[in-house]
Amino acid sequence: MGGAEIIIAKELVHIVKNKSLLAQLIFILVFSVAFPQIFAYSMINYERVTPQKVFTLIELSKYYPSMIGMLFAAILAGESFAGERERKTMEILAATPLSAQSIFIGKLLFSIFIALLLEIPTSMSFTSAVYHLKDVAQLSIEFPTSTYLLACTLSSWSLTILVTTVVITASLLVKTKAAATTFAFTVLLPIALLITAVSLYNITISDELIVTISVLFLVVSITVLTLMLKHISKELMILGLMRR
Amino acid sequence: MIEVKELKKSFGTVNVLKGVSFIAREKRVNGLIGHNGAGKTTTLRIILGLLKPDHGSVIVDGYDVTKRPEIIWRKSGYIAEEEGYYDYLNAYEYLEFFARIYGLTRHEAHKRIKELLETLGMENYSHRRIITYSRGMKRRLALARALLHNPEILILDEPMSGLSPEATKEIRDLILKLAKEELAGKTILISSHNLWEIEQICDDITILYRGRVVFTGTLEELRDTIGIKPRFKIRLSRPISLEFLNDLQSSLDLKLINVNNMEYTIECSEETIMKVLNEFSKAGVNILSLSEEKMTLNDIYNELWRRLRWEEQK
Repeated sequence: MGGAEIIIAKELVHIVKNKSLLAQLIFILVFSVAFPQIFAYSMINYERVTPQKVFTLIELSKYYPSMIGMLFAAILAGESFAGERERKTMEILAATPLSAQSIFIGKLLFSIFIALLLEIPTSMSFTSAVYHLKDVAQLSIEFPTSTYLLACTLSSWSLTILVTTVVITASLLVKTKAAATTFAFTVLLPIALLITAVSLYNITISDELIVTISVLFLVVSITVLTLMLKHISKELMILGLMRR
Repeated sequence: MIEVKELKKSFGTVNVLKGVSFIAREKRVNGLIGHNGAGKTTTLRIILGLLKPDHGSVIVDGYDVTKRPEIIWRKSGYIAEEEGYYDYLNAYEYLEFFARIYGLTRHEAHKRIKELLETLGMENYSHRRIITYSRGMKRRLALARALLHNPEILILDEPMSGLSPEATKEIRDLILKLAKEELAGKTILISSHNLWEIEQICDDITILYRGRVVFTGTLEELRDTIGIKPRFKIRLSRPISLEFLNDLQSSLDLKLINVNNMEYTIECSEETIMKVLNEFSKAGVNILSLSEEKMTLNDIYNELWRRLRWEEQK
């Protein structure tokens, strides 16, 4: 991998030993796993489980893990270059034999991998909650179907990769972590609002369409990443676009 | 040897380097000096292949490292002016991470890290987190990192910047000690605006002024180039009249710099000082002592800077 694996290992140590970042990630993880369970429990407890609500939740379950994954991706990718520049460690890393591409790939793969990994418990929690509610509502539908699972997986992967790509690029170009995080949330907010609106207004998007959109997102991400890898330089890593 | 040829670099409308050329000779300590904003850091970053010049080249071992920077990345160790550390690691883990980057095996890395920590007097701190280190300790760690892969070229950008006087002395002594042992045979390029440090450490000097090289050579060559005459301190047995001194100044090529009690500081050539001594003995004045006041790099640099400013204003 030309040194990218060294960067991945370093980033892993960085997360484990950086208490504030670790606390941030653990908090989001605990919240995102607990929320569907608490929600399902209170619906059952107050006897508000209706077939219509279960259908809405099934729709939401296609996007909920993606939203959490995007949040993880935004935090990790925002931290990558801007964090390194803020800690003044970027120049030293750039002066080593690691190529700019290796450093970029290492940071990118790490952000994507951790975000996807942390998405799994969220996804499992939401699916199990919906499954339970479906039983309570006595719905005789097949859940989860294989196309549903494919749509869920692809949508969460594509959105996580897309957000990581956008935020890591921003992190490379802006000077501070705060600027990168602000940019990340500016990107995340409209996506999150759109997803919420789709779910709340019961706009059903077929699983096939979700798969198509996800593939499109993946193509966009790969195109942007290819361009980045072609044009990335150590000068950009050290100075960003702020030059001097 | 590092051969820097006609480097030009602009950031937006600001021309930072306007054709910088000099040679950092092999196995010597080369100093790069200049005021803030003279272009020292930009020059070093271009040499290190971290910035692309708009024009010019940097030749190392026959290769233009502005086009093939991977050559200098392998061959060099670098300390940046303002550098951060992975504070959550300890010194051993920090050095181990860089050892992996430089392709050292686990065994080689362990041996080398142990050796360097001992040389730099850090063996007792190796398992303490970097966040607990003083600035001086952090600089020592940076030095260990720069030397980890035994590089042929060492580039130090303001290595004493931001350190307390004690830590500065400690690092300077360390560099001087290493220059004899660990650094022997390496090409060292060190930038600083602390001229005293440069004078103590460097063999050759390159002076940058507003993005161009105004001098490159040894300190002796710099003295000759500037044409500053030596200063002599003469202590006499009795005071002499001002008239006598004025006569001396008008008949001989000398400049009276300072009079302190019966001690006179005169700026003139060695030839002239002999004539001055002759005149004093003719006037029946005994000379109690005569010493040459060494011009420091700081004095010479200030004179050069004054002249450059004056030329600019003209």
